[in-house]
Amino acid sequence: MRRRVRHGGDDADVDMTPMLDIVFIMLIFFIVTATFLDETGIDLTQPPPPPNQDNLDDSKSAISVYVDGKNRCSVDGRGSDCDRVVLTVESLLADKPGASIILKVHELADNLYLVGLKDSFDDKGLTSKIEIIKG
Amino acid sequence: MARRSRVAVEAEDTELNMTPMLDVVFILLIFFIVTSVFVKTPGFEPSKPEAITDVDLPPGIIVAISRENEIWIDKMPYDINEIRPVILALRDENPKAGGIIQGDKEAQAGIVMQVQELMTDLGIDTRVSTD
Repeated sequence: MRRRVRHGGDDADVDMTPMLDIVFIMLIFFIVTATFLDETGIDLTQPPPPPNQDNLDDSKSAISVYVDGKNRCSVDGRGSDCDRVVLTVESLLADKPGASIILKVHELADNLYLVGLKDSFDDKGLTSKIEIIKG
Repeated sequence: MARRSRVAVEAEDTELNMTPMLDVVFILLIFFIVTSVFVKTPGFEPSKPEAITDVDLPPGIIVAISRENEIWIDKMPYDINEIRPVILALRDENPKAGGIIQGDKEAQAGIVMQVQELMTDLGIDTRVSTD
């Protein structure tokens, strides 16, 4: 009896089970929800063009891919099926290696083509520069 | 007597001291509470284009653009000219958050790039979300 009273700390009267329940539930909730929001995406950001080199780029050979306001694609001025653009560009690259690819997208073109073409180029390891054409 | 005290001591030894476990659990809990970011979902689920090279993006400031080029932020639609203060406010709440633009497949490319440029100018590292 006396021993029990002296070692009052060992015989804690507070039953901690409910508190542990709550704490564990909260912990597991936060761990699980920390992984729920899953977004995947691609990088469409462009480095800002350096002012001097802008002129140099025009003299180097460039392949321009254009998507107009009605989602029709063309490569270097020649109309093409949008799915075949990447293949066409690759064959053009065989003729002018090291050419830079400029992806000109009209502002009214669908996001689908902007993302799709940029992604297809990235997939083949070809860097491309995005330009939005207004009008 | 001696036996009794030994038995008594053994009985006390089998009681589990839960203090260290509680310490660890509380630290973990507080860690997760502090590092949790309250992401405001846009309120609109566009059908996003698919991409092959997409990577996982950490949640941050999410902006959705519908087919009609409405810009949805935190369950409210906006026009392209109205979003700057809204995004500024969200950025100030969460300065290190990245930006995610969920553009519908048929949203205008010009609007998507404009929003991206706006967010990048505000110092938010922005990506375009894909499926």
